[in-house]
Amino acid sequence: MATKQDRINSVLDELKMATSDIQGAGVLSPDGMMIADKLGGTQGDAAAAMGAALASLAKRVTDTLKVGDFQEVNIRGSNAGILLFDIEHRASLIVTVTQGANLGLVFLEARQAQRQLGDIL
Amino acid sequence: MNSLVYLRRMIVSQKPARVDYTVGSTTKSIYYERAGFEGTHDEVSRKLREIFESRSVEVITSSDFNPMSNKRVFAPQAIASALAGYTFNAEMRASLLSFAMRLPPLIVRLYPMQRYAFQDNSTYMKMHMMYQHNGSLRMQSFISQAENTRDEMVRLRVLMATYILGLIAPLNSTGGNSHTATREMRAHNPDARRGKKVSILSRIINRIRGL
Amino acid sequence: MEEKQVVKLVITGPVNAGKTTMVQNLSDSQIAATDVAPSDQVAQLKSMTTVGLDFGILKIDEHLELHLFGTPGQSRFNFMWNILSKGAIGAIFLVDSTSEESLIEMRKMYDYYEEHVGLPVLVGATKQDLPGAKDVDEIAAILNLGDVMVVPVDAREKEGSKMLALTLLGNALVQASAEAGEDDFDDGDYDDLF
Repeated sequence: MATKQDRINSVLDELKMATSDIQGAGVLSPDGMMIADKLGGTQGDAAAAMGAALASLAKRVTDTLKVGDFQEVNIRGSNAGILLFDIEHRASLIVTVTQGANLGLVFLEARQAQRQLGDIL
Repeated sequence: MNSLVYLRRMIVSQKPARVDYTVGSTTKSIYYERAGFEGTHDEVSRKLREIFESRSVEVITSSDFNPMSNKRVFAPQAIASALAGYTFNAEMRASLLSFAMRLPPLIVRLYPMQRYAFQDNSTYMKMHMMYQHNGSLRMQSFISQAENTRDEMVRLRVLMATYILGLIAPLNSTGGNSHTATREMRAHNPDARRGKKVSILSRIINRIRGL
Repeated sequence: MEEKQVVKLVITGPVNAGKTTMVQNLSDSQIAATDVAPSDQVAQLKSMTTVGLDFGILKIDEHLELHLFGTPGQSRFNFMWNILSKGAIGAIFLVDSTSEESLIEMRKMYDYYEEHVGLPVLVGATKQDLPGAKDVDEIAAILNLGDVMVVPVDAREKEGSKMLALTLLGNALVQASAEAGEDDFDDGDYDDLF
């Protein structure tokens, strides 16, 4: 039986391999710690804290403007994009994607990972 | 800090008066005539402390009072003993500070407060020296030069005593026109921003006190 | 048209120090609670307490609003200071008096704050009534913050929240007036004082 950590890592690996549009992925806790880091950079800890703050702010915005439960945040930079998905209010999935990524496919894969991670956590 | 303003006006005007003030939900009074407060030493200092902290103070001036006793505590004596060892909470401190920041440049009168066992007399002397040295006193500087929390409290007590007893007064009491002009000048002065900061902080303090 | 000015007050500290309540105590309206089923509410409460980004507004007068921010008190969230400190009057750091870890985190955060922000600051020591709580002198010694005041407080009580805010504002006032120059007396609005 694989450990929880192994299972999370394998979900992230699978997600990264699903499409070349996905550059990296990570799971972060709501208090800003990296649970699993496959982002492939050195900014993991900063990304975790910022991602958690972003998720919290997004949640506050969706609550305040009454648009239902917070589901995802989409950030587009000039070189690449960042997506942040809620995992049952207990964690967030962060995904970095290439410029001009096929977001339809990315979302499809990410939602599947989101579900799987929800089960594991 | 309305209570300080009323006490000062009453003492400076030297007319017989009654101070009505509210503590919690009860209204109490103290009489003032012939430069003294009516009551025993302890009563008067207890009541003065209540007045300092009361949110609702009213002064009624009239000559036909019938005081209940003929015991009087001379005003400087009464203020000195009310302030002896007087400590205050964050709210009182904040409102005293915002009061202090509103004061214009001042003159400081010398008065033998040590005769009335004013415990903070040496700090009062420091204040007077600062006034003599600069030709005017900025209460703001006097307070912010406090060395620590305790010293700040002493300085604020000196502010209370000298203000109430009329020992400090505006340097230019001559008129509205001059400071309107200064105010207009200041609008073009980049330093005005700092004065504005003081005003912003004072407004927030008043608002939070009322919560 | 007169423009409306906004100033900020930041309240930071670890989970359960009372940040959320303190922001609410000092705000005009409670942050809009959404209608959720009890089970969701628990989940929501949990996520609120763990991340703890709180926000509230206190209207001061027609031209001035105070915006209150409650932020997580770990040093990994230091990046938020750059955003929050613009237009801020200062910060209140809440620490858990029973937790050595909480003090160490605060110390790390303070180093960053002092270097990058440098606004007036005050430490509120919470949970003083619990066994194992360090007293304020001990906390001041551990934190070694020089002139920064350490005040015992129950930030969940309204009076405690007011007391902390007023102490910080008092300190900020003294500092602002000390910075102001000799000729920089502002309002001219003292006629009612004499």
